[in-house]
Amino acid sequence: MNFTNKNFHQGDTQWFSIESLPSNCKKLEKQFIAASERSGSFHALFGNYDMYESDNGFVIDVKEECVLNHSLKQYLDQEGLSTKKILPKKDHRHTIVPKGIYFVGIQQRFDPLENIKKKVVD
Amino acid sequence: MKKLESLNKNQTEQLEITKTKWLNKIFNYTLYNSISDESIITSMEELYKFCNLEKPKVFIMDSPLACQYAVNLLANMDQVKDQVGDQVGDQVWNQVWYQVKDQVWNQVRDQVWNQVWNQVGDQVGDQVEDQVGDQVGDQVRDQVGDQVGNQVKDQVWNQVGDQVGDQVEDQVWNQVWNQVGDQVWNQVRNQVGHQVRNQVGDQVRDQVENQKLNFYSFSTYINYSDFGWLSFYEYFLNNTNILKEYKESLLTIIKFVENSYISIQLDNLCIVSKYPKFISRNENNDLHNTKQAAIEFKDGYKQYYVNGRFIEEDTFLNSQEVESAKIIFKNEVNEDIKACIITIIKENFGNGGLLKMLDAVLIDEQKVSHSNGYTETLRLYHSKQKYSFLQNSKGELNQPYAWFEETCPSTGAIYLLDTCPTFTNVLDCAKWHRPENIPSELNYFWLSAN
Repeated sequence: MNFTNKNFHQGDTQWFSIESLPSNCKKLEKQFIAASERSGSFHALFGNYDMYESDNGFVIDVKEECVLNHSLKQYLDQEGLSTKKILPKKDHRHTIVPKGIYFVGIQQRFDPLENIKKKVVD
Repeated sequence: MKKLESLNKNQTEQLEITKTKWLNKIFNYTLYNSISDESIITSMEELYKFCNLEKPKVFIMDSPLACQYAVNLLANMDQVKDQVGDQVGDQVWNQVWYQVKDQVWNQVRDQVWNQVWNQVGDQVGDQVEDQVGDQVGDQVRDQVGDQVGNQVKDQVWNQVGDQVGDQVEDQVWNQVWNQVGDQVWNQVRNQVGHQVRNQVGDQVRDQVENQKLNFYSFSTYINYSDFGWLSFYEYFLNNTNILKEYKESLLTIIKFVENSYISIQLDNLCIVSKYPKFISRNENNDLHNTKQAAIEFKDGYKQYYVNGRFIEEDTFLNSQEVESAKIIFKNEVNEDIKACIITIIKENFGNGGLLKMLDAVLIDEQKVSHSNGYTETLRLYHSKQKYSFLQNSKGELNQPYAWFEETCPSTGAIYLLDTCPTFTNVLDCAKWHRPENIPSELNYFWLSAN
């Protein structure tokens, strides 16, 4: 992937503009970028775009300006993610995403106690 | 009859339903809320009859620890009976029992010292007295006899376990056995599993032995550890025809288990604990709660666990405030317990509390300019000390705790992320936390941030 350094983030979802679609990437049904079952919140893009599978995230081909919302599932309607719209925010303000191709992934976490947790599970 | 080759749609749906039903018995407190004392007494009397044992006196206690206290109380009473001698009749024995109960009870109580006793012990005395009631004659005199757990085990297997096992094995192909085994038996067994089954019992044993009382082994059969295999065979009973002829015996065993969380099975005497009233677990199904006990019984007996690791009540309660946690953390020599304290503080007070407890020092601070005049200040902190149980990103132990601080421009919330302690430059650290595919050469720069 060739990155163009046009990056933005909404919470821990991080978006990086890339020059072109990677070859052989598999198209996916539109889905949440990230979601919390516990709180019912999600980060999702609304509007005209295609979504592709990628290691550690997604590649998103934004055909025309879209809206990235951080909201709650209760505000979703039947149109789902296909229509550009601003939903009531959960925590993070909405982001206008310009036309372009992006790699999107989640900010990496590190657990210094992973070793000791594994010890209990074992 | 043709062997069952595969499960149909309805049978497949029932896998999840069966699993959930069995897990709800303990984790949604179905049994705790529904089983009556009368039902427990009847069931245990039936169990002994089923095992060709004499009808027992059944004592119902609120927790496994109370069972141990009760049997110790009864054992001491037995000693008194020996002293009084067999010459006395029931009437005299009744008088003796009521006269010496308090004295015997005090002797037992004097042998113990911690606050668990205060929570549970006095209730046990009353419960035992209530349940002994008017039947303090021959029954009570001979109560604390030999363990009969092996006879119970033999009967459960001879009369039910082996037969239903052979029948299912004969009537279903391996793939069906494995499918139901994986999705029902293993799931139920693993969730009730190691933690709720073994850990809780081990801690009761430690507490009883620390109090210089005798530990009486808990039953190996007819308790919650039977949930796994019973859920498996109940699935075949309810969703196929292959266990029709074993329906009555299998349901009888299930009824016994539903009435006994755990018990001490002795000759003529069965002391049964009710199911716990509260259980809390983490996503790995290990006992876990950082605000209260992870398992608690009706009489107030409780145990504290952090990610499956038992922690003493004093240590747990002192970890509920940062300042007191800081003191016990410094004095604690067990690294596993130190890790528990860190987890409690982190879950209850966030990394801010952890920074304070571990005397964090600022390693690096940089102001980064992004687009449209948006700037952010990033900070990197390390604890002063290294800890043997903390690791860096390469898995190397004996590291300091390290945090990366950033501020959300939308909410103004300050986030302290755990980070790899090898960084000394906060910008390198911020880049490292980007998704794995992002090359480190790419600037740390945001056109927008919300």
